[in-house]
Amino acid sequence: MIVETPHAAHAVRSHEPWRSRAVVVGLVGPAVVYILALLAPALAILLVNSVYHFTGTAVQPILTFEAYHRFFADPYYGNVITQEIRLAVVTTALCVVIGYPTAYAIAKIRRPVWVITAYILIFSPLLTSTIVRAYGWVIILARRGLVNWLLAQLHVTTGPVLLVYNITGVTIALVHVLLPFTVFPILSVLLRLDPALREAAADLGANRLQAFLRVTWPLSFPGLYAAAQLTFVLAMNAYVTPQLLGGGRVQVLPLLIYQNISDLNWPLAAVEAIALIALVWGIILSSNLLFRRSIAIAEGRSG
Amino acid sequence: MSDRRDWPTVILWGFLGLVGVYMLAPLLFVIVDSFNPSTYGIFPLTGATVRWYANVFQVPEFRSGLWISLIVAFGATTVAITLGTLAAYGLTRYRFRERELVRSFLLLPIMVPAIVFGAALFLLYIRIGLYGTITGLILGHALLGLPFVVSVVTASLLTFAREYEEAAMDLGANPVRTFLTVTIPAIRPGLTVGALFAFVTSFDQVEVSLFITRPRYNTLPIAMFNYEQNYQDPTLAAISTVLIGFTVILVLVAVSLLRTQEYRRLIERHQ
Repeated sequence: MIVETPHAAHAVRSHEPWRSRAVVVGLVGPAVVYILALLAPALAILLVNSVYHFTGTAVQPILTFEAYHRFFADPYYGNVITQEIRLAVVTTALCVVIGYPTAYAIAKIRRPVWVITAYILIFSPLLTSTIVRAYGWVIILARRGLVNWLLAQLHVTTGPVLLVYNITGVTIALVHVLLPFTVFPILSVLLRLDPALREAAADLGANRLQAFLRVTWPLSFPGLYAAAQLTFVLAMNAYVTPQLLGGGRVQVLPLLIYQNISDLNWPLAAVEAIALIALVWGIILSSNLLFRRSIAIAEGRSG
Repeated sequence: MSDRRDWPTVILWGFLGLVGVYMLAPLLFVIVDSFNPSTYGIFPLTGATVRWYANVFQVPEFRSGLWISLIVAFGATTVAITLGTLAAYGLTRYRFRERELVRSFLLLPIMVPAIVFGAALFLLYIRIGLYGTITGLILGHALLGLPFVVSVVTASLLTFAREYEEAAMDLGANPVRTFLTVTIPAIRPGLTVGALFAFVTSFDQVEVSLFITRPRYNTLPIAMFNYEQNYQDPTLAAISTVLIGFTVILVLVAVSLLRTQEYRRLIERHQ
């Protein structure tokens, strides 16, 4: 998703004498073994916990599907999932709507000083902690925060507007956290586009809007799609922002997982973890099937 | 900027400016709030105080947390950049049957929700004695930084002309020497960005640390996270301002480290 597809022919050397399987294993092996050794047993133990019995105070290793039953029978969890998907979809849509023109504008900058300034503005928030940024949004959006003070000064509102500790606050802050992840893949595709293509479109009589709609947009679609997918995954898995800006009123699976573990209910937390992973991967895979054609067309044209 | 001064372009620049304001707003107001005399962070400010900065030093968890976070971030960056660079080199320079599979596998850590990984890691760590240890934190954080390092270094290796490596070997350098004296210097910008990503990923990590740190031996983000949930005074703004200060220094150093040649390459992409 993040890696740009390498050009196979360019990437491969075939004639070096020291090329051997042992070298490949030596290079790639450590990273693979490291991931396997840590991720596999950890996830396996969590998985096993999903079929254990929870007494109300402790976990007993007795085979039961009661955690699964509770998760699928109680409509509460369905509501949480609906709310979470809605949050992730709205966040992703906002990130794309804001991120595409942002990337397009950055790609058009020519003067070096402004190129550097734009990169710093858009990407340096990545370097500050999500906790710091969440706290910043609380200050701005709180009942007696900056926005409500401004609104009162301008006599726009009679009482404070509730912008924080609800879904609005979470969305505003989550878009802020994820926007750099949306802009980056789009920007790198736009910068790789051959300017000659747009010139050719202009020579053939297309105006700027036509050139954009028929050349730039379709060719940048794969980047946009990758960006949207990454943003959606990160939004679904977000924990810190919903926790600090949701004020307990926004429930998503990552928050439930933590709460259940705090209550020592590992079986239910394990089921929620499995549900979260299955949900995200399921949505990604089905959207890939859905968009495979348009991506293939766009990549065929650009190649 | 662009040569064009017509209205669609002006609208586009205006929009970019607004996005810039949106991106900077929370950071700017954290800085403003760190001087807020009101305990509840009420606007507008009625004066200015530095007592929240003094308060930062009164919270022992912030000081110990900073040290733990720095040690863990350095350790995690070292592990991630070493394993990630080797893997990226193997993925770009060799053709082998499982290559695409390995490539996807190396991205797996970011496809598992961090909160799930943290919970699972806790269950593993209490069984093997890594719970609450620096080693445990380093190993967990490095795993999260690894996919970024692999992505960035792979991209870097793909743009670097392999002819230089071949020339070095034709001139008699062995593969290891070629890697160390030709490849590494050539992909230095990629390595720097990858290392920066790995460092920041670890230094700001919350979800995984939440499960595998011991009470009173917290990393800085966990200490801040707990503080934010228990108190709401601007002490958090003060320590955040200090961290933003570090970030500004980091960005300035990064910008000044950009060699003329790398700077030119970045600019060239915009011509």
